[in-house]
Amino acid sequence: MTLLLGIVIFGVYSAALLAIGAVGFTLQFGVTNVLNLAFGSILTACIFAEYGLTGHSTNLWIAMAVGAASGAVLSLLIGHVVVGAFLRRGATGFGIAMVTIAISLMVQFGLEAIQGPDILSYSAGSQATMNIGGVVLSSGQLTTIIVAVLAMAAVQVLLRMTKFGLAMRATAADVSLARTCAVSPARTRAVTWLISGALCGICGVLLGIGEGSFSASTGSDFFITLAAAAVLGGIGKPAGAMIGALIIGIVSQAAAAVIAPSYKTIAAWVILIAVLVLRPQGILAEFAADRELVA
Amino acid sequence: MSRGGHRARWSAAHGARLALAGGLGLTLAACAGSAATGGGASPAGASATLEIAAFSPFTGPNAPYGYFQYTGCVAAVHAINAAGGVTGHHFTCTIVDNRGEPADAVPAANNMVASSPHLVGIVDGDSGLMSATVPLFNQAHIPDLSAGGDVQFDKNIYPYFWRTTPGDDVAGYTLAAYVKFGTGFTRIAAVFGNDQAAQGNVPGLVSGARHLGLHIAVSESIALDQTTYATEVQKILAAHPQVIVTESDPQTAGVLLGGLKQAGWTGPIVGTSGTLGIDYDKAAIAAIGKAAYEARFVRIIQYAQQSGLAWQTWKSALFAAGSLVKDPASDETAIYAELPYDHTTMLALAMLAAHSTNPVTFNPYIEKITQGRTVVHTFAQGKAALAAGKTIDYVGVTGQVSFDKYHNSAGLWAAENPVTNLPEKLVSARDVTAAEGH
Amino acid sequence: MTTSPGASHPAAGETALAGSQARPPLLRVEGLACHFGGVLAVQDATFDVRHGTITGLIGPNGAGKSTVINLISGSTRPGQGSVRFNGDEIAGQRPHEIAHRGIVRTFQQANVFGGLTVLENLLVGAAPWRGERVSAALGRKQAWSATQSGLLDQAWDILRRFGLEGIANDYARALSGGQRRLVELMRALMAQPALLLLDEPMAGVHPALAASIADRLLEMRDAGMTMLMVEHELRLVEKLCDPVVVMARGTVLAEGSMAELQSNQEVVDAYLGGGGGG
Ligand SMILES: Nc1ncnc2c1ncn2[C@@H]1O[C@H](COP(=O)(O)OP(=O)(O)OP(=O)(O)O)[C@@H](O)[C@H]1O
Ligand SMILES: [Mg+2]
Repeated sequence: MTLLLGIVIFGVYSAALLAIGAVGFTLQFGVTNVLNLAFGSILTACIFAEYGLTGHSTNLWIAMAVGAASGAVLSLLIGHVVVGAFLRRGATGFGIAMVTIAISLMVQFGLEAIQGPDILSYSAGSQATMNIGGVVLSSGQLTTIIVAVLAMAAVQVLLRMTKFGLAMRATAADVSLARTCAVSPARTRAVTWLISGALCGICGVLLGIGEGSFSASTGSDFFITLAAAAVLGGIGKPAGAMIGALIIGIVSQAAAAVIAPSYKTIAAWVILIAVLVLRPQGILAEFAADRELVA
Repeated sequence: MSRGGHRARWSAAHGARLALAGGLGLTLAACAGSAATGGGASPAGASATLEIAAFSPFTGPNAPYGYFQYTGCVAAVHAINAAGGVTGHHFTCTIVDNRGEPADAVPAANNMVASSPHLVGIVDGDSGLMSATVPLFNQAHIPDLSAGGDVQFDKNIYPYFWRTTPGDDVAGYTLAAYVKFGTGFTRIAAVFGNDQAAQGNVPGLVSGARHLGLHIAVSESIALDQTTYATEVQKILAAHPQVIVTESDPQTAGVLLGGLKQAGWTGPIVGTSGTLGIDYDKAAIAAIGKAAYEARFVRIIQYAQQSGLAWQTWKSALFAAGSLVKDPASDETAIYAELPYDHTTMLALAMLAAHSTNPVTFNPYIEKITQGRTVVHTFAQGKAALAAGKTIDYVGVTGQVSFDKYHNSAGLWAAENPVTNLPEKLVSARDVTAAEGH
Repeated sequence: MTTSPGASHPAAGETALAGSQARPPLLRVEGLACHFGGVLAVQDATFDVRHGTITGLIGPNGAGKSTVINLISGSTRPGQGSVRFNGDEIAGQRPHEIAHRGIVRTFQQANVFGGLTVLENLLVGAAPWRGERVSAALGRKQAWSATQSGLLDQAWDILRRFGLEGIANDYARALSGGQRRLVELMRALMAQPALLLLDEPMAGVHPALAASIADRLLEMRDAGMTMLMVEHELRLVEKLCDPVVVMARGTVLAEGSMAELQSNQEVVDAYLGGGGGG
């Protein structure tokens, strides 16, 4: 019973962390159609920025604010300025993906060059814990879950109940039609990069503090699972990313508990492949072939 | 990187030293393969200078280990030359970069043997490459004193191969031996990362536990670099272990130890030599706090002396070697620098005892100088004792050497405090033998 | 060649207009040209759309009518010529800039946001888009709250007028062709456009529905909206449009009321006579 509860609770915690990042990633892809493979490195850079700027503040909320701000700035810079410049020169989807890989590697190895390959650590302030039916959850983990729920709600409100959110969805669905509705794709895109980067930063800081230590490759490692959650749910669909994160989170915890811990990653990928066999477009998305790259 | 299996031994401290290598690896790369650097005072007009090769990776991810080999060699050569060398010969250390890859190591070994007429010995620490390179050294009749951990060499058949550190599989037995004789607990949770290096400990631990009457209450192989191990922790604690034995990379350890703390675990944790390094310490301290880490965590590692004449001599040679040693203060307690120091010293003492610098002649004396009556701790002491007609037993900075018929000597193990790196309890060769079921 | 006397002499053009009408036209298209590879889709098209009219744009298939709509709305960049809206040159501006000025269009192939509901489609059309600057987009209440700004009321009003409240929350991708046309039209109306460009708004629509759309368009004209409408069904053109511009082979053949055009032999030969050739 405790085991089952543990699977659910920690599955939700893993999912929460994944979802914050995956929603940012998928939202940005959906609106701009740019496959941003630098997302993981931006995530790492946010942890470094937070760690450096606040002197690794133990206040989670301040840390998240700093992470979000640095993520937003970096993301806008990379996505809007750099990638935008390539798009205006007529780069294709594949070329752009390569550009983002290049940026990703530059950021990662840049951080490594400055910092060295050592890992950095947050010192363990003794965290309060709470016991739910035998399962012990730390306040940091609880905060992560709460933040994820708030962030998911905020994204849904933004997308469903605000004019700007509608503009984002319209741009995601059909850029040229959105243009004829007076939606400026460049501005929609810029704000999307900002929001995506902020979510990326929050995710990074929660990841860094949650794991206690990090290095220049932390984000790129985490990004693979994060992207899997996004693809599982249907790339470009924020609600899909949430579902994808939840599935990956719970399946991997269940695999660790029921089979063996070393199977947790395998289980998550088996599920991903199985779902994609049945629904190649992911759980929520429709196919969106031939979509225009938004310059 | 260090999780890549066959470099089990490297994974131990390599994280801690990579920072050093960042700068150094590059400098060495430029001169790798050929550069010979004199150790200490070079005699003018003496007979040929004899070469000892540090055959190791000096580029690539394991470059720090090449640096350790070289450092140990240089310090020993400094002390040997300062004591007048061997029959008028002085010594020098050569860097031979094998890049840590079999594909590069074989040509490097061939080239070294072919182009070095004054090569009299090799010090290496090359886990993973030994089956490719040791036969070559043997064929060339060059003695090789090794710190590599390849388990095939537990039953080595090459006469020119000598090893004063145990094979990688022995580490697992030392863990069981420590739990039995060091803690008195009987219920063990084995929690190892699912990488090859960490998993290499498991068979020895399981088998050792059986021989010693211990119970493996739960054995979990942990997927690396996850964001939470809460479910695993629950499962581990549900088995009610008394002691947790573990190895994983630092980041995994941070999350795992944090999860154990969160779930209320307050029992002892025993780490392998794979938990050595500043990154592991940082991650663990971040996870459970420095006080708990120091009080409840011990690391079972090959014992390195930090006092006594052997250590004092090693330390002063290290500092006296000048610019050839980059960071003497941090190397003075590094077992991977101490081993080649002893190895180089043993080579020189064997030559003295054999009255010959010809490897074919002095090779058998590598064992004889560890079996004599007069215990010596330094080259100078040994030289004096041999000159006085005594037989010697060299007990260097890495301790007593006692070769078995396979030219292996297991060395001494200790449970050390992870913060001070001071030994808290020794694990004797007898304890390890008991765990091995002999 | 003096195709249209005023074209190269704005002053002369204005004088001519001043004689016929107090106000300059809402839209003035002059010497517009556009080609796709070797195909001259539009060449030297010149005509006006005056305030408060439903100006018809007719002509045989391939005459260049849709291309003219694309050129005005910015979907296609003109090779030559000028488009003045309220006196401002807008040729070559980007579609969202032109839409932002109040020129809103529909498509010959009804174009909706399939993944959005009908109501959301309408809200996307609401104009003008105030979230123009990033800061404004994030700061303004209006940008944030579609509900508070009265847009929702406006959308429901329009839905009611078209009798489509029932499908407000359906996804647009599930709609029939006729319903898509209506959604497109309603979305355009949400913008309260100064000039509405309609490319065959009744094509493929059930005749009864077409008649009701026609009534809506007349209501809107009477309320002061200006439209430029491409239409093949001449009876509808006759009922709705005055004046009517006739195009053939990329150029403007004639301009006038339907009655005038029916007595123009060139027009009858090119199009009205049913030959459809050119
Ligand atoms: N994107 C394009 N690429 C190439 N040629 C085009 C393109 N769009 C239109 N054309 C050509 O330009 C000419 C005018 O086309 P247009 O669609 O404007 O005609 P239309 O008057 O709207 O005809 P219809 O009544 O059939 O809609 C045609 O010859 C057409 O084939
Ligand atoms: Mg057309």
